[in-house]
Amino acid sequence: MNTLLDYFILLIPSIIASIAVCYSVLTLKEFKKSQQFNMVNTILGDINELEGEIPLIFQLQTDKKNNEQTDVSLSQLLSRLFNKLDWLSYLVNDNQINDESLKDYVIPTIQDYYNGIYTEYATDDMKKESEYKEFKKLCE
Amino acid sequence: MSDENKKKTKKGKSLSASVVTLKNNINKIKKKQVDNESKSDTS
Repeated sequence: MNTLLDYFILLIPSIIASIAVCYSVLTLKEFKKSQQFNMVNTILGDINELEGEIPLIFQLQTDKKNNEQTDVSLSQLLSRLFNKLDWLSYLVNDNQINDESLKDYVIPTIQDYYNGIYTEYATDDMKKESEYKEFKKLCE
Repeated sequence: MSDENKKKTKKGKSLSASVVTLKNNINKIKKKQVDNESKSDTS
């Protein structure tokens, strides 16, 4: 005959298993969140690095006084910047970045670059329909 | 843009400081290009 103690002994492993499953789910959620933060952190770091190249263009302008070379350097920098923003936009559009607080930060940042830099300084080639699709999809 | 993402935009708000700085720097480069051109025209 089963006593109350027998039932209790059977119940303990189930409770422990449930706690373990909950803990695993929480850990997995945290891992995904930290992965998303790392992705964004890497891309924003790359963008900062690109912006750090502006003084080199100033220097080039001062030393060589060569407008053509400056144009090339500047459009290369802008193209690399838009590539990074396009990739970041893809991650948001594809829901790879789905943490709400991170999206609250990233989307306005991408839009700032779109309104402040892309609309004003992108060359005609950069504005072609086939270019930076994800970036435009997120911002337009 | 998806509706959900649209809600996260900040319409009418000013640009962030880093974008303004980048904009100013690009404008400086463009201005210097014009200066260089006018100098080379006069010389």
